[in-house]
Amino acid sequence: MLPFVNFLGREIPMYGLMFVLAAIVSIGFAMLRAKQRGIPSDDTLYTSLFAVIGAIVGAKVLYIITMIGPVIKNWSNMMEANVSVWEIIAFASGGFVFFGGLIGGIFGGIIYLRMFKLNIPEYVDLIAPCVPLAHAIGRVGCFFGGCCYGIETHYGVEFNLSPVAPHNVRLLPVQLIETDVNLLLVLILLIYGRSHENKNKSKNKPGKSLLLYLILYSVSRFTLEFFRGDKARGIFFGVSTSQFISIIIFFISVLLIAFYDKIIINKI
Amino acid sequence: MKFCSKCGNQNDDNVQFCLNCGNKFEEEASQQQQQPQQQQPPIYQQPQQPMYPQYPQQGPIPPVPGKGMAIASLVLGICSLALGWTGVILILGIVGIVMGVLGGKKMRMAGYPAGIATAGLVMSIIGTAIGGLIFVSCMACGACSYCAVLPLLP
Repeated sequence: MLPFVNFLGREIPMYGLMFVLAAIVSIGFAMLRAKQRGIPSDDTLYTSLFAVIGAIVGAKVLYIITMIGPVIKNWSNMMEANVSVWEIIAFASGGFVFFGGLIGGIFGGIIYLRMFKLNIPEYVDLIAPCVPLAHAIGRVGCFFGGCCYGIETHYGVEFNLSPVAPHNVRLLPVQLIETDVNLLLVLILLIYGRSHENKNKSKNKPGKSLLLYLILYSVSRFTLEFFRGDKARGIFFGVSTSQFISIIIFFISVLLIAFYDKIIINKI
Repeated sequence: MKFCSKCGNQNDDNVQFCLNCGNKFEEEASQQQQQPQQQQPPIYQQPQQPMYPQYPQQGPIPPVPGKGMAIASLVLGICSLALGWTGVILILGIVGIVMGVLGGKKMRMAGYPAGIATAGLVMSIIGTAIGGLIFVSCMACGACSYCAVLPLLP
């Protein structure tokens, strides 16, 4: 749609702008919620920063992992075509996978909480609604950049300015649909958190919000993946990579939430 | 200024003997000392200061936990601010954030003020944000990079 915005004479990519905006808004939201609940806001900031860094590292690592297979398989082809090492490195550095970011982000936050011996479930409940919020804003950036595009439809949107999407083709704006779904998830998590806050403290089991988010998100991602037009991201056992990962995460989350007391409360 | 009861010479308030005749200012001294004491200004209250650990007078200064990281964060913050626009230097900003958070937290937990760490953290965040803005373009989706290598894949 609008991949670049001209600001002060520089071409600024909208995707990057939305990425930074998503981080600012969601961290700010987390700190606001922390103030409401009496949790120190500087610890919240540091946990969020570690989570963001963990997400960047995790997303990049997973992307490289998914790329190692094709690169090794075609090493001889590439050497024949005189593809330079720099191009391969540029190729490997050019992407992120969301689920890698999710797992990396969770690890990053937990590393900080463990290091300074803070109450993990409390912070997890605090930060959980901010994840779909950040994702929603990031998807708007996807829409502007034209990546993660949808299937062809006759009433869709054309992404003629995008360097990534095919031109002169009407595509379903699945990025905006994902934004709406994510905002709905934010609402659901906030309502879930509110309903468990004032109840009897001994029955209050903090930390489940994240698992609820994982379950809901994996289901929605699996469904929406059918409406995605950029299937060149890899096929795994008949479903796309993201669908495969969604299934795995769905089952792990259901197990964890069912046996929450035994597994998580005793572990952390 | 007070006057000697014997010779009438003018003397400073704080002298005990008249500079002229040597008369001891005893009663006058005690009388006059009460007034200055009453007029003494109230003792200056030290403003609340953070509790610094007491350094021993001799011997080496104990190392401040986290200070090295805080200084590293400051350096990285300045570098990422200066070079962040090139994009690749994003890694400097990220390491600067990590150092700033850890260094600052350790310093504060030990009771020291962590201004250096905060400054490094803020600069690293801004540098990373600028780098993220420019570098994490839609190329981050990875689809563009495919163009270089995709024709070579089956």
